[in-house]
Amino acid sequence: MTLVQFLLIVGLLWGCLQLLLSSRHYRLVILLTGSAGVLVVLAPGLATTLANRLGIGRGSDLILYMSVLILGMLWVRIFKENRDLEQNTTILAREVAFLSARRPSVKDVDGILAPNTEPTDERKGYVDDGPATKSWNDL
Amino acid sequence: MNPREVFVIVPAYNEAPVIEGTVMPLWKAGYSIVVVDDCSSDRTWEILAHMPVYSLRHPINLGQGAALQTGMAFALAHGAKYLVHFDADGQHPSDQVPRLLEPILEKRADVVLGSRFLQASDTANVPWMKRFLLRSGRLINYLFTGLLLSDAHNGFRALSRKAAEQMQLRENGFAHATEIIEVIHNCNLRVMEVPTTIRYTDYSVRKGQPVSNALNIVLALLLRRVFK
Repeated sequence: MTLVQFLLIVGLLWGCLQLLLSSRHYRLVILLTGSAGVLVVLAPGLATTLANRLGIGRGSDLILYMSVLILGMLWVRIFKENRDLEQNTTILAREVAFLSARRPSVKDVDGILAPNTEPTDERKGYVDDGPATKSWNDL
Repeated sequence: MNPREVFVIVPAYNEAPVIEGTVMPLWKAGYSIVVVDDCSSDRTWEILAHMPVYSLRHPINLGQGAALQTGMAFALAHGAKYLVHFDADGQHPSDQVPRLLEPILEKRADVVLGSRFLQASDTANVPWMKRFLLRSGRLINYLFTGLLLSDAHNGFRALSRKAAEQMQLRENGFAHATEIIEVIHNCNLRVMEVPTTIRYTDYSVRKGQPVSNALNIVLALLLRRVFK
């Protein structure tokens, strides 16, 4: 084993380990990709043999195509997770907005805004009496 | 109809200079008003504290679609029978609210959309670049929703309670306008367009969506298709 091979394998294993530890999803995909990487490093001819079988030509091309594919899938995955996260944030922010909602400063019996109650002098009649709702469940 | 059963929802983001001028005519007309402050960095929230409106504030800036959804959920929970979407920048005339509500009150429609392209005089008001974009926008809306309307993105709308209950807007940004049309189509809601005037003041043009936003909206809609 050459020094480059050794460094590449150590790097690959370290990367896979980090991914496995940080993510509970796609462990199988990470393991398979990592193993394929190690195999290709150990047997440099393997990628070319496989590429020839698939009609691609050079082994490095095969690796490039695979990387693009995996990166694309990753991008889609991250985009979706980001979108879900945004949805959750929205729900949370909405809940906070409900909790701190303020009633109209002028109220009538129903607690609903009294129309035609003209503010007297410079809105003196308005009182801020805190949150309109105690919790989402009260709504 | 009791005007208090009409909840006017006003999403506001940094509208301190105009919010009072927008809201007070609505209040004088007797409507219940829900202003959703989308985490403004100016004094909008402080100004709202002294106004006769329900006011809610997002702790982070989410976008106009999210603010509308927050306002609608709040209004529904507070007994709204009719809901009106109303831009905070003062571009919609408050005296045209009854015109929007009329078809709903007469049970001819579930959703009424304001349109600036039904009357020649209203159309003439629209700057030409906006006119071109909105004309293209209606075709894009048609492709996405199957409904061909005259005005692509008009923030002036009226909804019955039944229609509002169907709306669960997930598009936080400006793509919500197309999403609303999508819901109308998917839920078989009866929709009508009514001519409304838009006042293009210096302020509302400056605050309005930049023309370049059109591309973002189309992208958001495409991605929405991919990631349901």
